[in-house]
Amino acid sequence: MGLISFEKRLQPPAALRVIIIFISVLLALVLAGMVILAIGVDPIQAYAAIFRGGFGSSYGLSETLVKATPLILCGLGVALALKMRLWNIGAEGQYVVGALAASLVALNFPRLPSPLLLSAMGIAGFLAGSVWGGIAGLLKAGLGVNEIITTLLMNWVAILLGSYFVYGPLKGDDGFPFSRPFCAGACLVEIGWGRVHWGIFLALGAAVLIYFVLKKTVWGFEVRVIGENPASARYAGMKIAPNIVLVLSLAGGLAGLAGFSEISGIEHRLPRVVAAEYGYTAILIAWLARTDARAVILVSLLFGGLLTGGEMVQISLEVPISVIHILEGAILFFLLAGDLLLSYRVCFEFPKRRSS
Amino acid sequence: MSNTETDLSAVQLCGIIKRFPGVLANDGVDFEARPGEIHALLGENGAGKSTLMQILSGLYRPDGGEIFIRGDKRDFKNPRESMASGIGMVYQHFMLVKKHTVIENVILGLKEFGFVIDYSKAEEKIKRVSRKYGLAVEPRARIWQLSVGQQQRVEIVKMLLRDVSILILDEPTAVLTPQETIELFTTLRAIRDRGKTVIFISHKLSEVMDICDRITVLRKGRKVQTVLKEETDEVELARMMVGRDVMLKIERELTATLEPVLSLENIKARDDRFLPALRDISFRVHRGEILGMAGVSGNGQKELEEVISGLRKPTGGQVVLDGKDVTGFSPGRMIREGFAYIPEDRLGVGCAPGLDYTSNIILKDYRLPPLASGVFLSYPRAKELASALRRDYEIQVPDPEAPVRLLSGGNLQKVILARELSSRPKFILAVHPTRGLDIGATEYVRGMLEKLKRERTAILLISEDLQELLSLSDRIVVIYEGEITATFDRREATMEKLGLSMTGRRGAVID
Repeated sequence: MGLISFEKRLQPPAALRVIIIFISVLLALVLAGMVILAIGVDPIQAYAAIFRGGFGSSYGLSETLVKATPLILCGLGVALALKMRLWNIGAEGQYVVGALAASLVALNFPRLPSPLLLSAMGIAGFLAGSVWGGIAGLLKAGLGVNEIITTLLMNWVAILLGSYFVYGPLKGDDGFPFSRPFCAGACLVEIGWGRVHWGIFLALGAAVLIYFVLKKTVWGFEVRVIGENPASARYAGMKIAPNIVLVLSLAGGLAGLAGFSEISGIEHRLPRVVAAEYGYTAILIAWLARTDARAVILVSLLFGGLLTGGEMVQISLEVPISVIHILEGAILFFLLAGDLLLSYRVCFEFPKRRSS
Repeated sequence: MSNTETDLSAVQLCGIIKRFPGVLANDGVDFEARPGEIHALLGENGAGKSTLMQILSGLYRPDGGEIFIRGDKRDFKNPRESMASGIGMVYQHFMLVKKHTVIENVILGLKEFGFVIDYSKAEEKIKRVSRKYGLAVEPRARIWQLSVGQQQRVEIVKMLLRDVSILILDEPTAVLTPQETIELFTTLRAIRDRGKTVIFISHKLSEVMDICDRITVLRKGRKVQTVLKEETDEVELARMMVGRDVMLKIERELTATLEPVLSLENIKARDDRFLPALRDISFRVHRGEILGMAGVSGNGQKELEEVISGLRKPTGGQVVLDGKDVTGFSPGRMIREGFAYIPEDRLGVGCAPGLDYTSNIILKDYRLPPLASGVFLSYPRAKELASALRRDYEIQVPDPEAPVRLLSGGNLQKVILARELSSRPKFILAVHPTRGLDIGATEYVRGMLEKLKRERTAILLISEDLQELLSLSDRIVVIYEGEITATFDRREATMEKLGLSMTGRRGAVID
């Protein structure tokens, strides 16, 4: 019948973008709200509780920061790659090998002085993650293998590798699925507010550094141009292949740092299962932040708050944590749909009566 | 319009208004075309001619105005409805499925050949249409096997099979050789003589004067005038298009010296499929000279560009720039040696379309001081340079932060020129630099090349526009199947001689 037709736009008005973000988030809240209602809980009450949980108390805020720390680092890892149009789906695996490498250092050199030990752990975590990302980078630059597939598949390799170590060489004596606990010197110091540890400064520092490197250096410019148009980048004399390897390595390194930060600041040992799937959430964060490092911080805080509030609501209102994941997914879903409206204009017509 | 005139019209557009964000593409345009005529729609880029025809073909809905087909008011919601009214449009970029046969492409979307397709019936019908209009097509051939001219014929057959009464062609000769253009015009005359309406969108004045019966000139979204061919000439048409007198011929000076700047000696190269693309090419471009290179696209020009710019290593031979052997140098090094490149594909290769104006200006020099100091890039200094160049080259950038793909073709070309020329290169490789540009921008680019030539830069101009080559070059070489088959001095070169050489006939080598 053709009541609705689409017409391509030349350039979307800036105000429309903001409106679309608001409406998308609203629609996502409605959708998740319907799920909450279906469980028998009042959605308004639930959202209020989630918000209070994540942002409404000192303890809540501290927990939000705790969660935001690995999210920021993984988010940067995905955003940096995305700036060059590379999809790093492997933040999850890079996080695991980063945690693994840091654990190996922690458990094998317990007698080193703490600052040295922590630095070594951090470097190990970064290097492990960057090797993990770099492999995907080499395959893409050298053989054209799609990085979505390589980074994704390497996640499983990383998880199984971690599993092997936890049940094998690093096995704890208490029978639980964790490694031996770290010595005190291997743990990132708490700053005195809840469980918040020095990892948060690492994360914020990394974000600031990435922001300035991308904006103010020659290399940052190259990354942006290569991401935007590799053909013209080549004609301008930029080297594409080495940059692919470099960017994916750096991205992996950042996620590896996230792994180090979590096990050193929170877990104090290597768990078999990686909690909260920070690596995958990071993809959402990087996309929502449109690869801007400052926005990554903000969006990570938001998601951290949602996760914190969501955990509390699990107990207080018996709303399962998966509702938060539904909400996260719904936000992405509606924003993608909203993007369609930015590119196309919708025309409605009312059926006219045929003139004789 | 009087009643009798309306009755004569095949199509009538009254007061068409079309707005896009930031621009009024059609501002109350009236247009009328009759059966049995070839009607040209002439105008610069941005004049609104493509938009007007896209409204007629159902791609866009007008914001105001009315469409009448044979006197009946119509409102097309989509291209299908427009086609049902007998309107068919052949676009500059063909909508053909390369892997399919001609038959499969022609009957795409038609229901009359059944759910289980009756290919022989389709082939019969295609052959009939072919014979009727003198359009030779090979129904069983696959599209990728056909030349561009043949592919265009398939598009036309596609429309004729659907019994269109109004055939619209958008810049059809942009992709054709002179010979193919002549064949196309014969075809169009045959279609016209059968009582159909042909609307010919173009900016090429000489062709319009050749083939068309009536000409409507648009300028900045408005109709300027509709004239009969007999009542006008190229100079007047150009004036109507631009609103002022236009220099169609450039004042040329003999500034070519005998000092070679770029020499290619016995260059051999392979293409992406490892087939030989360049088979022993040698030529020189001298200081203060514009060397034109003519040839149908696909005869090695692409590989030659890549060899000179450093993107492709030749398998044999030498490239010498200003006395230095630069064979095999990377693009970065070539740029440092004083090489500038104006590519044919502005958006795909010549710029970063999604980045802003400033980023695109510094695309070549970003590594060097004063823009860079060590690892740091100074954006403020980049912005300064960008503003200065904007003034010097009179580039219209309504929003410096917006992506450059939104700029008009002419302005985008100015950005590329500004970027490439600001470093005072020794040698410029310009490929089809005025393709798709309107008269004003074309005038500017050609004047710029002429000026650079006077400033003793060496320029290699590769183009499929013979008129451009004839008006700018000091010497012209012809490339065919990877070899130089002829060299002409500008005094003796003509369209016919060039056209002939482009098809492989070897010509005299006169210096």
